[in-house]
Amino acid sequence: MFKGYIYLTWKMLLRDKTFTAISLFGISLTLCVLITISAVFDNYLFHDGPEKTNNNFLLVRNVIFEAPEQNFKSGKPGYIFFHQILKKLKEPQLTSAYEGGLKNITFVDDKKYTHSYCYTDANYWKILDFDFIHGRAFSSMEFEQGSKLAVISVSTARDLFQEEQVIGKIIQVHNQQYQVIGVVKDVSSYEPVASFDIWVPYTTYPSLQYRNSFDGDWSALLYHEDKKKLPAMKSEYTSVLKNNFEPIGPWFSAEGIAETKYDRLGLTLYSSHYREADASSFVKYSLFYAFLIMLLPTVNLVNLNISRIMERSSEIGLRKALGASRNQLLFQFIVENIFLTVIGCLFGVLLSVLIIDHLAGIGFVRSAPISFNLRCVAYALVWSLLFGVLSGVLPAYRMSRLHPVIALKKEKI
Amino acid sequence: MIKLDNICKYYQTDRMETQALRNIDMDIQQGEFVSIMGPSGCGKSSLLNIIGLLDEPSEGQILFDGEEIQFKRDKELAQVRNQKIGFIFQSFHLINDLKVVDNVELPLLYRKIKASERRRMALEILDKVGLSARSSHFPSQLSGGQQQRVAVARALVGKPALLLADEPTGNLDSQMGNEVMTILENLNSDDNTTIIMVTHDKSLAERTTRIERIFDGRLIH
Repeated sequence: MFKGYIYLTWKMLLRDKTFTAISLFGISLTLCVLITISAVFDNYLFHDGPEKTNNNFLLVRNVIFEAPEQNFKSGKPGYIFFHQILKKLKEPQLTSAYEGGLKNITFVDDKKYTHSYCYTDANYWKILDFDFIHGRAFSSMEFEQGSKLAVISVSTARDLFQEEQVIGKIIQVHNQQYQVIGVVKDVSSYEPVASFDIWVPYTTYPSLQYRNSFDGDWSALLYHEDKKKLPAMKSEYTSVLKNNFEPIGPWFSAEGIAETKYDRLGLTLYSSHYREADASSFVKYSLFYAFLIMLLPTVNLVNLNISRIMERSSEIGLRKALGASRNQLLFQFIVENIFLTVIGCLFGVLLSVLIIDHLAGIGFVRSAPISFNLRCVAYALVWSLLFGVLSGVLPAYRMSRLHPVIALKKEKI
Repeated sequence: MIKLDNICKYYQTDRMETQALRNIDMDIQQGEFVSIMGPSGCGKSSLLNIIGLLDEPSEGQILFDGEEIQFKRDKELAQVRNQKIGFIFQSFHLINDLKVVDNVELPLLYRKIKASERRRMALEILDKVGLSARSSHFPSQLSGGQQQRVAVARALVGKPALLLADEPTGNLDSQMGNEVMTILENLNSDDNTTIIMVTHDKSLAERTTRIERIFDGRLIH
């Protein structure tokens, strides 16, 4: 039966080629947009850089602190918060704190270079999977001792020394001199936890004031080698904030979540308020925007389908006379429409491969490569199924309710 | 087999109500070959559509094998149409994009029958109507008479107890019409299939076992 539906759809498509071309154009363009957007999201969620371990860690970066008289502060906390909270957590195997987003300006041969740098600890290198081209990361002991050692990206090495093999050379960061002990591959800006140019131990901070500061730009990573432990780590963190929070300065309570990769994307894309950002908001809003993108082409395709299906009203009448129920006809025409959208999907995939290739070529987002992979094919199939059902249900429903006697009066089959 | 009790059918248009059938009582026994005659627009096809469960009467009741069926759900009515009734239409109603054998298989698609078995049954019935050599052709490659024989094969493939034919020879010349009529006669005599045929042709009607005449929506006795 299924094969028969597909065969008949194919024949229908060949019957009116202009009509088919218009339908396929609309479908493939819509799916191309969705596949390209999915590919961008995919690159945010599935990394091949240091954050490829992101199924195993949670990121803490936003906290709401409350003070008496309804005073509150929202944003990244100071080091003292992590120092106080992280030591109470039992679930994570490793924790790491880092302060990123700092800028280091260097002049080389009268040319100005701005590099981002990050203060962090030794666990940072164990949690994230950096690709070292030369050298190594700083060890726990070197971190504890406050050794002035730095890891830099290969681009930074080229900027500062015009070469990649720079182990042992000295760089200046925040008015302090550091010896380069490692060179890593550049990190895509899709991986914000790891996307810096220079990394140094935070024990080398110019003063110890950071240890007592409420303010700062600190974040933390909570890691477990078993990704199934993430929910437990997440709830432990929330619980510690809620029930076991020791006041910090004026702040007597704190609220926040430890974010999975989906939570992070949800927050980045759809909310300025961390309370509303989680994995479900990511899925919810993504589907909502995908629906918006599909709405107009869907309405268009619904109209095209209705006129195409009404041409076949005699066939519908015949099938009813031969014993097809409304539901069987509904199913048949939805299957036919899904088949049409899957063909459109093939063109959509080809188009999006070209577009993604072009975007990658022109560096659409600086240092953020975008690529087409097998997952994108899976997204394409999901979108085409959804699009096929959305645009097929209404025409199929109307058609399945045609009165057989009236339908049979139309001569053409 | 079929009992029509006081069947009326009205069609409501913007300005007026048209009465297509008035107080039709009819009792058709298993194995009968009934022809329904009458002028155009007298309600013959409306009656056939109601008997074939394609339309509902405005009043009255239909008993099919002693069971009242007009209030059944769509799915159940579809099942009765599929398993107990075969339709032959004046304009054949073959799907031009499907091969002859695929057209014949259509009613079997709505039964739980394996594809290979469906194909076997379709080829067998095509052989019976003398078209086995044309099974891979498309309807447009056949003559009118051959197309109607395909339609007959399609109506018979599910072995229905009741065959409804709406002017089956109306679009055929006399020779082809005669061929189709012979097939129906053999079916009635050999397989004891009940046939109800709407026709304008008196000579064809006289070949059936019973003639019912309708005029202005009423049965004339």
